[in-house]
Amino acid sequence: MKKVLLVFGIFASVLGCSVDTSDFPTLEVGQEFVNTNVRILVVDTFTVKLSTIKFDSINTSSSNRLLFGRYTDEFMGDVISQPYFELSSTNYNIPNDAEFDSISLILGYDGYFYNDTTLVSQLNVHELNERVRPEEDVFYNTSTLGFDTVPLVTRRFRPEPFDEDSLHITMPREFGEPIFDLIRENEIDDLTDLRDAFKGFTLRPDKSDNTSIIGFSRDREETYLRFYYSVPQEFEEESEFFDLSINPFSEDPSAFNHIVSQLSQSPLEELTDQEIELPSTASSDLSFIQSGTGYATKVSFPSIRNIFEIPGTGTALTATLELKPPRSSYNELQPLRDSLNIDVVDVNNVITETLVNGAGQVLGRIIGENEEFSDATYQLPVGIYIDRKLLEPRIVEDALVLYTPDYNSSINRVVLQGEENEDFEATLTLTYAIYEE
Amino acid sequence: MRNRIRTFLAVLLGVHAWGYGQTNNLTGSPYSLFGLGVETNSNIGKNSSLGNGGYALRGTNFINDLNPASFGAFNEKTFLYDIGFLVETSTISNRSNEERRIAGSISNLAFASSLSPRSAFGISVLPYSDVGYSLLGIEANIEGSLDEFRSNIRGSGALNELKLNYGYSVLDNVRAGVQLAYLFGSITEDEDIFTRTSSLSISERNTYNGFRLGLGLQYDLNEKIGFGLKVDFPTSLSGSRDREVLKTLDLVNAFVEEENDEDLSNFDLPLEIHQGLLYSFKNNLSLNLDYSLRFWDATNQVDNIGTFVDQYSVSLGAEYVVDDAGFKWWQRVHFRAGFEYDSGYLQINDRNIDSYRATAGIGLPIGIRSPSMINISFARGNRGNTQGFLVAESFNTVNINITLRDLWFLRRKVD
Repeated sequence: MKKVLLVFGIFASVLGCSVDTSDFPTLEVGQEFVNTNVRILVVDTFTVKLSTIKFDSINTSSSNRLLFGRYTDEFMGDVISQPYFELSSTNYNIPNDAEFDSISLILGYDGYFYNDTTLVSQLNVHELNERVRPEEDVFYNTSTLGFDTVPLVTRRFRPEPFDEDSLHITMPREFGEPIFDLIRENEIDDLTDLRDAFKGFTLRPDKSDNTSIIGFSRDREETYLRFYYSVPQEFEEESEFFDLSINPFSEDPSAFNHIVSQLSQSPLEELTDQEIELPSTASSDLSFIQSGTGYATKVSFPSIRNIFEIPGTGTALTATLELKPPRSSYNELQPLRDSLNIDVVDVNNVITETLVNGAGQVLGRIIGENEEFSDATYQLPVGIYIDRKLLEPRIVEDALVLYTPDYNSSINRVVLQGEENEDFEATLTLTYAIYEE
Repeated sequence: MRNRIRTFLAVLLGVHAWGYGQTNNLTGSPYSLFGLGVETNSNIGKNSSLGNGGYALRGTNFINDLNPASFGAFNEKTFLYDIGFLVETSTISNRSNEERRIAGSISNLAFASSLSPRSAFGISVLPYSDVGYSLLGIEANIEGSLDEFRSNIRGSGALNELKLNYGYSVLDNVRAGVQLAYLFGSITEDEDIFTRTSSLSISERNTYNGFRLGLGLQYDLNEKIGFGLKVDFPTSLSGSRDREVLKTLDLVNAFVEEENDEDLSNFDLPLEIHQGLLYSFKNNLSLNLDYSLRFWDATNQVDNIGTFVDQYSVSLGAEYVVDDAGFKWWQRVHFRAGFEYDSGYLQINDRNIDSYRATAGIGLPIGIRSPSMINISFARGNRGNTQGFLVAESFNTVNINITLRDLWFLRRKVD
């Protein structure tokens, strides 16, 4: 009988292992007489609710740009950006026999501009009479500091953000020489000493300007206050210079942009608090985004759960939100950003998270911007969010908020057409699979 | 008796291994998508080479699993084992494409033992139906758009039958038998769906089980002519389903749903009536003619696309041996041939998915005066047709069974 066991054992192991075929046949035969068990449908009849909100404050001290200028926007009113900054150096050494020659403020273009740079702007340099020190840890777009209302110097210029490296402003000798002397005589040895004599500048656009907003660099190599001096040598004088610049490593931020838009007779004036929202239906079926000033578009999908009215059990596969800016709202001078950031806000319009999918941060992309016969639209892959809204056991009153990139260091504006707009209704397209009828 | 217990343990060990064997497919037929799959091509011993028939065959020295009444003729003091395996190659074609498939596995395990001079019992395990299909690139419209999505559907699995047979010789020429079958198994279907940007995959495992009762009768009119009858009573297999749904949305893999032991509607098996006729010319040539009816229509079941229709099958088989008691080995070699036509139980677009097969086989004896034998059966057949959008399938199966009598093992002890 042991043999019986042995024989069976051998059979069992040999047959169990050796007769192996590929798990499944793989070629494409036979599919014509069978249908898939799954229905996939596309539904785009959901309500897309757009509204404009305004963030109370934007941290503008963390940006790497001095944003200067003023223009009048068709939708956002007078848009004004006024940078404040403190200048300092890592050492305060000027030879004792140096002789002051001149002083200049050099503002390096960083390439950013918005609106018409062919017009001549007026830049007023004011000396601060208040130290650049935030009340909290940072400065916001709403922050201001005290400054001497009489400008040190006024410069009219045509911005050349691409053709020139920098804007050169000659400063008055009466301003530069006293500071130079103090440094040379070692009265100023550190930043604390310097602050007693010189607290910084703010750059104010002229009240009547309707020109452009220009970006200047905060980089030490690009933007600085330069003291030119000469040191007498044996045979001839040698020219030298001493620079003050914006300290990128300072503990407290040493520069920020004050950015406002002054509205008049606009429904946006209602947005005095972050919790207030202005439905697009109350603002000509439009909603707004403007970086720098804090305007953002909030999107919610109140009827998304209507998908459950379709009989069967299903799941969301993709969801794309499509939004269109009116054709009149952008042009070469006021270009569209080619992407939109997407965050989630809670019921009080406080950002709770950034939308992330398998490819990283979710961004809305512009489509058709350069095509001849089609207008630009933004497409936003919001499947992750929609899926969550469909699955959450208790409905959470959150929403998406859309805003432009470089939100704290630019003043780009995007206008979006709302859900009842005659030209193009804001649309959510949901691809939904029903796997059990 | 102690030997028998040990043998039984050995069989259990074999059953265990056979369970592993079932992870392979026994079929690659796209028609196995429907119902519980395609009926198995495997059979115990020599029935496979006799056109899958033999309801009237007396099971004197082999296990005739088809009819429990045959166990009444089982030789006294005999104990038989049978292990078989099957390889099927098939060519599947529609009007424009053709592909070849291969599938194979252990196909059965059985043993039988005499209880008394007039009665015997047997236990056997074999596949009842097989599933093994792969339908790739099915395209369907995304409703509400001009886009399409693609779907790949794959199925595998088998329903198995554990049969307990008991046969008794009521009279010298009348035998009766009863068969209790336990049907069990699971069928797995995986569907993967792809849109341009996302995917959905659904894995379903349907498990069925149930009992079925069969009664058999054999009657020998005379030395030459015998009749067989077997009735399988209708039964209902209860089913449950495990399902897991996963998806990829915006490049994130997400779990959609997992559901276990969800009730499925029962699967009904119909009343089946099988009749057989055996005609023996001399001692060495016999013919069998069998006719089977399965009343699927009465089960009122529908499938995705096909409908269930009453099924009938006819088979004819012949077996020849020069001299079963001959002293030379080749004289005891059995030659078999057969033919079967099966109308099929599935109707698609008013067309039956019928099949026919020609079979041939050889039985190679092991040892002298022993029923121990290696049976090799070969079948070639066709199923379906290419008219309309149907699929035609031609298949070749090789079935190898080894029947062993325990005396063969005990011979040394006898010495």
